[in-house]
Amino acid sequence: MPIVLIVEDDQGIADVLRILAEANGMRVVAANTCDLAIREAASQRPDLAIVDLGLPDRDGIHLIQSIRSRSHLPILVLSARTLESQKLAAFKAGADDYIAKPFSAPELLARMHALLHRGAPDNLPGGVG
Amino acid sequence: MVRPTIFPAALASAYTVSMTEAMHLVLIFEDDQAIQNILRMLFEANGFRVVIADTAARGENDARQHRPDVVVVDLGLPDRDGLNVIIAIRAWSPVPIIVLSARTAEAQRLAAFENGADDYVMKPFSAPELLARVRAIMRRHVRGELPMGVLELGDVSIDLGKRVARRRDGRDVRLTPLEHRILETLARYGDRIVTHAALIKEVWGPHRHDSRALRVYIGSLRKKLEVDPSRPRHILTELGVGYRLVIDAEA
Repeated sequence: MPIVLIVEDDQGIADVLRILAEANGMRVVAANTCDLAIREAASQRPDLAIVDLGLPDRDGIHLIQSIRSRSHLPILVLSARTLESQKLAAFKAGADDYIAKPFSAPELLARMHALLHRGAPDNLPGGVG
Repeated sequence: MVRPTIFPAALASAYTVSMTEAMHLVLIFEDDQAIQNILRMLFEANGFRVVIADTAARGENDARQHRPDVVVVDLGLPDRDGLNVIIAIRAWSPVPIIVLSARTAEAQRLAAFENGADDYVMKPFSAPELLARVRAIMRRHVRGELPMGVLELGDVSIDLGKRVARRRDGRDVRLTPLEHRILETLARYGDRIVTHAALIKEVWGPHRHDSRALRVYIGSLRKKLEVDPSRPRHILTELGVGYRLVIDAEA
């Protein structure tokens, strides 16, 4: 069962994300601050992180950089920030995908699946092993 | 016709491209001449080689012939729907696929993901964002199970993302794009065996069955990377089956 780290300080959105992930066979680890997310990323070893950029203690960009400096955990940014420069900053920091709020739940789920499945050698044809 | 929101200054990014890098190849399925030109400028200005196909049939042929590192697909192609292109390529290749389309309905986006697309960018598009997404998807594709996409084979360090290989003393090791692709494929399987057929399929495409070229390239890689190419310690032959990469062996 894949583990999804949801980093979101808006409880309503966090609840929606939890329901969406759990209904699709994922286990959820939640964090509402950057510092807590860094600790959970290290201790729970999630398979995917969904990161809001507007966190109360530190900017989500800092969180992306922190995660990326020690792992290649797939990171999907889910943010109300829609400026091109803000998206580019997230990708430059190491984000793998970026969805602007308000978001479509089915599309978010499709992008989560794409990130979870990308690069898994077991999915490639012809392997022996 | 849907134009991108783009400014000439945005075409060249701050990324610098080392001349020692084996340039990545992007295959673009797009029938609109104006968008073709913009995409060609965008990618060439940022260190990519570009192949453009204006029909699905030509593009699928180009995919088999050129083995791109990333594919950008418009859905509204004149001969077939772009969704069929995604399905056809995904049947034989894990190459990253980004849809670039004027179709904005959620159902259309979901259909693209369900059939194997990795990302979906709607027209009109931001050129810098498209470039950032292409780079992100390639980074993700290459790194697979490797620590930050860097392969250590004896005294040679190979950055699979940048396609740069160097010895510990700083000397460059020049690998061809095909040699990089063979290494990337072996690396994605970790220390498991990759059959001849699987390797040929991933490197050359689905219609190549001759293993002689593979043997030649494996021999060339060993000459460049192994201390003693006649007794390889990293690129191992599994007799009658295929090859296996040993990443953590010390030379």
